[in-house]
Amino acid sequence: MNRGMGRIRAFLPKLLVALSAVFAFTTILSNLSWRVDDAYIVARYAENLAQHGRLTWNLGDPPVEGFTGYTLLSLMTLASLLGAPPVEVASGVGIAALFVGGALVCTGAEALGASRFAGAVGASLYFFAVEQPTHAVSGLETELFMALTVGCALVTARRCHGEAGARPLWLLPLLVALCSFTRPEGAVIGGSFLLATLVRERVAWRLWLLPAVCAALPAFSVQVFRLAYFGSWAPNTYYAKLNKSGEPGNFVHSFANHAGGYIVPVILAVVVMVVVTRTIGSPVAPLSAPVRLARKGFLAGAIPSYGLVGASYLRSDLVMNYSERFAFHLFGLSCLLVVIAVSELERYFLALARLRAVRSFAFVLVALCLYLPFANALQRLRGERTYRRAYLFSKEFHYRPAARWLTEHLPPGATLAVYPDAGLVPYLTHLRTIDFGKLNDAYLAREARSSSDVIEYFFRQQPGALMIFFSGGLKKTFDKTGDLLLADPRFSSYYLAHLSLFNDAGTAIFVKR
Amino acid sequence: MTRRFLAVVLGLLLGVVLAVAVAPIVGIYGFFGSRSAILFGYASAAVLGAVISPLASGRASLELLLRRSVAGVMLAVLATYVVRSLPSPWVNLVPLDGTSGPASEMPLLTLPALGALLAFAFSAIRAPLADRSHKG
Repeated sequence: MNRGMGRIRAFLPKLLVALSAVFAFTTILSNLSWRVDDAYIVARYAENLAQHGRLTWNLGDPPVEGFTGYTLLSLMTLASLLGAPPVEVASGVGIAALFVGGALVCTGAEALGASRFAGAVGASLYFFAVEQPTHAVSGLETELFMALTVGCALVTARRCHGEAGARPLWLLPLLVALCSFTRPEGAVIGGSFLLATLVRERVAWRLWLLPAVCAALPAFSVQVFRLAYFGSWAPNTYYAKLNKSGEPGNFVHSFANHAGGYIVPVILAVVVMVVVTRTIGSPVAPLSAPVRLARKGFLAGAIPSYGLVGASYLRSDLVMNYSERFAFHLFGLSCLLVVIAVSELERYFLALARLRAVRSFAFVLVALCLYLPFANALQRLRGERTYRRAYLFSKEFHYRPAARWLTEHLPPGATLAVYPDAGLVPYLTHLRTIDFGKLNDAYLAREARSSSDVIEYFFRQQPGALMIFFSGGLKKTFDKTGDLLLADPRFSSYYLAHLSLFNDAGTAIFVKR
Repeated sequence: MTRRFLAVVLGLLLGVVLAVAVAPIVGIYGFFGSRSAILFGYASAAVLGAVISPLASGRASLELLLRRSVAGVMLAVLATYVVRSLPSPWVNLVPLDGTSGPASEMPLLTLPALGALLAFAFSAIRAPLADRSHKG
């Protein structure tokens, strides 16, 4: 009987992870061609850099930093130089990063003093979350960023198992540098874990000083480059997303939806078990000192990460928050939190050994709580599939034909205004493009405050064509400003040249008479 | 065995009484999807857990009874959360004329079951265990 239980204990974690990984893999296989529009924005920058030696949105214009993070840009530029399609290469990196991240969560459980089962639950959640395949194939840096944050957290935890300064500190600063290169939030997340490590190992400061400086150097260099080349302290995307209305953005709802489905059930189960055990159970077996330190190190890095990144997102209008993308930036850390939580559940359950009936009742509830994230994922599956299909349809039915039409009917030197999606169409047409989605336009991101500012800017620029998204037939565009633009009397100098609508949504191209 | 049986019956009865008392209130607000209806559902489960756990576990010192009450509240709240969160269709109690709104199936279904289960679990705590001092 004991041997049988032993076999089950050894086999169950592997089965959980394998099933979840297969689920993610099959979903990815059936969505290999899915790309998010923003990936083509970065690809345009990469191709301008690779083919013309200029890091900018429009070749003849002053440079603007309309991308977030240099890792993805570097990968795409390298792909472009080697003659490979940059967005497809980025998608491949995203897919690989998903599986690397999941493997890290699974194998890194030991560093956090967790059992294989706890690691398996965390890794299974990482793979099973239905939005993960979307982020993997999207062509953006989301999965790579997640994997890097997991790496930073686990290296921090692992170092706590040894004496301060016992091992050279190079891996963590390298990961932190890469993390901050990938997204600006990486500087906060990676920096929090690095700081936690440096504080813990402060007695060996002579050993960590050089690696810490080397970690900061790339971020500092990027900042100097940004100031010199773009003339700004922050990327244009930061200003584009900054909420100018003063109202909280959409992050609260997005994160609540994400955490409520995937993280809260397990955390709630742990809280209840801790209280129940401490009130009526036996004393709980203490954690070993290295494990306590490792978990403290993890929390010392994770808590500021959640707080500071969450605070910055609260102030923003999160652009392209498809599949809760911004909440998923913290999902790697959340899965490690789940690993610790499951490990604590195992520890506290042992202290209820004498109260069998209470323990059995609690066991059923806790087991259901561990099941809930997967049940919630299954509930979201249809919605996520529908979203991917609708998005892909929109790209193939509206945007690609629009790009073909523009290439055939507009001269190469013409200026195109896009409202609001600035990815696929500018990438395919190579036209000079004014991005009314704000990411790639300094004036619209930083100075335009009202609809009239945006409209006046349009008529000052006098683009040769406007591609605009309609959401309610020809009466309703992407937003109020778009509606006002089309209703402006000066817009009569443009005529409707191409229309692609399906169920009242689609794109229209207006050309200057 | 008799003690346990009596405890379960008591838990069931308390659950039914609370459910009957709560259902019309929760049902009215539940029809409009009010958050207060959900909180009320949790509160009623917590009250049930707080009362039935020390009652079912037998005589003990006040401190011990309070600890069991806290444990009962926590388990009751977790049970309510699980039951609310599981993606499964509810039993429609309209034919029983037991509802006045979509949220009132919850207490009618869960409170008696919760009362019985908590009573069953806590009635297994025997007297010798009850007198042990618990260190946090």
